[in-house]
Amino acid sequence: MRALPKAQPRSARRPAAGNFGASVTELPRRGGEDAELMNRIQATRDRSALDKLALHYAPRLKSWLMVRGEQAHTAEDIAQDVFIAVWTKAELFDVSKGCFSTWVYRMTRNRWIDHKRKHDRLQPTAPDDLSVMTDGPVDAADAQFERTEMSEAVQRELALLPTDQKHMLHLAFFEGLSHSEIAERTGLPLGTVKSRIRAPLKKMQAGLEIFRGVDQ
Amino acid sequence: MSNQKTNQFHTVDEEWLASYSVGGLSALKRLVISCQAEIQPTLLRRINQLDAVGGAFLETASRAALTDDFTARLMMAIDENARSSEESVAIERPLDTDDVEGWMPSEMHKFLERSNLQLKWRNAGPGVMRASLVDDGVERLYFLKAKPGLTLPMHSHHGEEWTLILQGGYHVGTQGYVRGDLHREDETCTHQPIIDDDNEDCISLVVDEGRLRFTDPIMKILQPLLKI
Repeated sequence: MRALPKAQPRSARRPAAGNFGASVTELPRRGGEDAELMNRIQATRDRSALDKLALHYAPRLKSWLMVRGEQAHTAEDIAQDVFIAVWTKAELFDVSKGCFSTWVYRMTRNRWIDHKRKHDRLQPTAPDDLSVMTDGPVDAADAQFERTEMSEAVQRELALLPTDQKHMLHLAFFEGLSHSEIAERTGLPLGTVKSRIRAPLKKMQAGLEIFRGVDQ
Repeated sequence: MSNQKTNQFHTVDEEWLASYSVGGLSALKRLVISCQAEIQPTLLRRINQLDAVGGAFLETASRAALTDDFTARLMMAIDENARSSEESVAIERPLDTDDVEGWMPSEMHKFLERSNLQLKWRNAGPGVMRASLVDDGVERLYFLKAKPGLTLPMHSHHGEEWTLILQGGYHVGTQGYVRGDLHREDETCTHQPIIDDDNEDCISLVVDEGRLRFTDPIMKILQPLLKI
């Protein structure tokens, strides 16, 4: 049995060295343009709209996957699979209920997990299909949530964050580092890392239901 | 104490949820979180929020250069995909639903169907039944069913144990866990759950990283026989 760090998740794979990452000063604001392009795909199966979405996002998906440790050719293959799914599952995307970037992020993550599972020799007896969180935005139960408001709250809060705090979130949510790994990378105390990540997430929760996220 | 009327419930620390969002969790722990998110809409919403953070960073990510023919290959793949979709015929073996009640999350039901797994309950000690599902060499996934009012043996764990309560409930000391609660323990904890005496079995979905560690010498002797 492997030795496990206590009470702490592990990043699935060490990020590869490189200059890939997300800008922590630029604001995400493609919501309207992406929604219009998805509308065109849904309404008229417009391939040029898919091309435009791929032109913006595919290099970024590739970047995300390479940060997570994938080779360039594998990252590009997964990015291609994602855009095939954008095309074939376009009807699942509800323009009025969330950002395309969230949807494509989720699909990329799920396909990356599938890829890891298929190529992970450490799980010889795992069943063939363990991908569970669906690509649709997300589930039927999710339809009742005001995800547009949520996306706006997330983006509004990100825009207000100091660069160093945004950098913390970037390390956690783009590079997939654990809090301990972020502390190691930045030289900051673990408690500081945790508070700098949790504080903006708490603010994003403002207006949401009471949520107790700690089972301790 | 769990209280679903106020949307308060037990789940794992937010760092685990972030790990879920970025794809860092093991497949089996992902499955457990997905099942809990189905039962607890607040958790689903929370995960969506974390995904939105990831999506926002994706919008402004730096670009990794694509090969020149990426778009051409994408369009060809779409055409090919359309043709193969028309030709494919899904072959699925329906799950034997005789023993599947309302307690099972649909995510779990779908997982069992996709994996061609059937529930096979077997005795795991007095008043306890177990249905093993997956052992991937690192983690084990199984259902556990315990009779109401039962006091389980004092035990600890090797590594993590995540227990999602799907029916009934139990107490550990003064802390109560009911349907929709996710109870996480590790090797640092020794506990003795007492199943709520409310006339229904307590059914849980469990993922753990190793066998239980009992303090009772009799249980240590019985453990290999019970395969727990």
